[in-house]
Amino acid sequence: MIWHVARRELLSRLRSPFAWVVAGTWLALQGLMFTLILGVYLRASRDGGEWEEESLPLLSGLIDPLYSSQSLLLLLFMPLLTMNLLAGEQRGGTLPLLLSSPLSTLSVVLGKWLALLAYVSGLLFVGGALAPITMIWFGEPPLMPMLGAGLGLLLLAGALGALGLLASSLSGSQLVAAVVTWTTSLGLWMLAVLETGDGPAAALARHGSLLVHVRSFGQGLILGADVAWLLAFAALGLLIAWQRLESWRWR
Amino acid sequence: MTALIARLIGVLGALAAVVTLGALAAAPELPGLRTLGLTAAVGLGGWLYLDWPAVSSWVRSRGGLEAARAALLVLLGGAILSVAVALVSRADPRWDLSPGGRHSVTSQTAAILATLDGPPIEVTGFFMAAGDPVAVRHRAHWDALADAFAAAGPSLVVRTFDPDVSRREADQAGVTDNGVVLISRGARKERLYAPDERTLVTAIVRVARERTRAVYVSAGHGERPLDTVSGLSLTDLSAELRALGLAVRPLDVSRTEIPDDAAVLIVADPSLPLAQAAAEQIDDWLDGGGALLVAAEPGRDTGLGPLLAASGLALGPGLVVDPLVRSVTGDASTPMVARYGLHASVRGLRTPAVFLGASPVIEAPHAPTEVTVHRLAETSELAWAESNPGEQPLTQGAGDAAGPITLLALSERHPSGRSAGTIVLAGDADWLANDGMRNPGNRDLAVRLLGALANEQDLIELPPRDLPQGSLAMDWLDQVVVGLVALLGIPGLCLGVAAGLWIRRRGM
Repeated sequence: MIWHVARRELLSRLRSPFAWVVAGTWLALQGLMFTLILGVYLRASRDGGEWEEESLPLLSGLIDPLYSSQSLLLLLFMPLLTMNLLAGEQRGGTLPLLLSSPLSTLSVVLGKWLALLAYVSGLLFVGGALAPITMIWFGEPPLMPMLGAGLGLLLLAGALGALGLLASSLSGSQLVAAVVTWTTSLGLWMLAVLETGDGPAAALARHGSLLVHVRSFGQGLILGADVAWLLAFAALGLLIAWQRLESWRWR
Repeated sequence: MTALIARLIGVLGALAAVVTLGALAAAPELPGLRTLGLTAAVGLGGWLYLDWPAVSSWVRSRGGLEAARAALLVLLGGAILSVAVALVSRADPRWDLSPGGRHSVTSQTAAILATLDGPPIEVTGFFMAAGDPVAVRHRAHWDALADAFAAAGPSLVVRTFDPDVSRREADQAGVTDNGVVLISRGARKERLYAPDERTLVTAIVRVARERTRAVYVSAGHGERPLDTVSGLSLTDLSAELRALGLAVRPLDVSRTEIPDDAAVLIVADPSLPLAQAAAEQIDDWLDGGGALLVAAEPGRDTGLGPLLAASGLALGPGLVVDPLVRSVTGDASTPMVARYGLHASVRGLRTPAVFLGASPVIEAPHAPTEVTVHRLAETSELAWAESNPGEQPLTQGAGDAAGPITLLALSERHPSGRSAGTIVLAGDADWLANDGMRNPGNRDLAVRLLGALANEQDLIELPPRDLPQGSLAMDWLDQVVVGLVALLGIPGLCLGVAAGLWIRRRGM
């Protein structure tokens, strides 16, 4: 059932020009960031100096900044990609039809989330593949940190997708859903600014900030606690979205 | 109006309850949780009290029951997920994918930390989290190091404070500067400034030890000094040994008993021979398992000849001449080590050490059952022991011993099968002095040899972090091509598909 919903959702997305425009814009921005970061890295490598105290120029000078830029793009685009997931069904009047079908609400939620994840993974792969291909073609990059960064992006996409799905279940307005997702994810991201220090605010930032839990992936370090936090974040979002959708059945 | 206020209070109370429950599971150390919990209770209680008629009728309706079930499910799910995150955080599994394991301590450091027993050692770093770029970079380096050490085992409690923010902690520790790291266990304390891995682990070992082991340098007979900075003194060697966690102190063996904490005794170029009583004291101490390094300049009597001879070591006649060095420096009397021996004390050494005017070291007659002699460092076959150093130019004569010439030898004494001390003999003292220690080969040899004699091989074998850099080389044309593909090629493809779909939908 879940796969059926996911397949239908993914195909419907791929048949939508809007999804391809979003993908094109995303990939253009990703390409711009890659070109800029690559240029800065190559110039700094030629000039020397900027990274002279760093022990891993390619990791800290290229892979990590690329990972950060892709994370920011996820933050920017996930609200646009998720706003329509359930709010569109509510607004278009197809939600009652969906709920009266033999599909369980859980399979609807999980199917939509998986379809979104597949679409975003495709974008990350297509857009992100150029960087490793370039690095392998023109140099000798460390490959494992790039795989770690890919895992981090996938987990972040899962967490933000679940948040977007939840926001989309709260209102029939796609705009409201996008704004809620965007402000919440940005707020959780920006919480990291409180991390500088040792007080309660810093502790709260260390435990609650999205940025704190995703940044080590780009540095070639995968922390089990971060993986668990991101998975739990996604699971909680999906759980609430599921219960929210369930509430439509008895209304 | 009352109902609206009540519901608002209820929502705030519910939010506080969720945050409290999550924090209790994931981060129970967070301050203010009690207040937050109280806020949750007051909020939820206030809502129930103020809005009870509506609440009671809603709860009895089907919607109320379903909502309560959903809320319970969400709360239960949230609690389970929080506990799961807390358990994983406590176990702290980590996978370091960076080249060279940048985020982890080396296996040698991990092995050393694993041997620490007793109560945990506190490692507290005071680094500013914000400020000028240098401070921020120091903090980032420290954070990575602290994480790696904290993950290395339960023997350490690693904490970090910003001295500008955590004034109380900084004052208590007496820290006024940025970049200070304090290592303590009980009354034993060490203070470092922005340490690297090797400095930190040696300091931790120093603090962990009940007693500091010491290297004593013989004094009182015109030996090389420890407290005067000159080319002939031993201050650089002393600094290297201190970095290994060893105390370095002078000792007049003619007047003072060798202390219990002595690991190694160095006798470096005494201008007056040591008295027989001093030699006997050293012999007795060696019998108890001590280690002696004798570095004698050519022609000088150290007073330890009989002790050395009984251990199978002696200085041969003449001066070592090395034509290999002459071809580089023009001075043939500074022989270079061409080969290190197989003994553990010099194993793995690559960089050649240079001796600055040395007597050859030879094996004295000895009983192999009681003494084993190892050649630690030799010249090439081209060198020889010149019996007439005044001869100009220096040429190998018939009476000169042919190379390879031993520059450094070690004797292990084991009468009746029991270990009774180790003696190392060098026919030169300058290689250990500041002039000689400028050569990296001399530094490596001295540190490894003395570290081995003091049983500190683990710390010596901590290698410098040789982290792979990765590389990328592109010219401007490559950059342009990659930029065009990234900016126009891939996005253009997507926009083309979008246009195609749009046209198809419009039936154009």
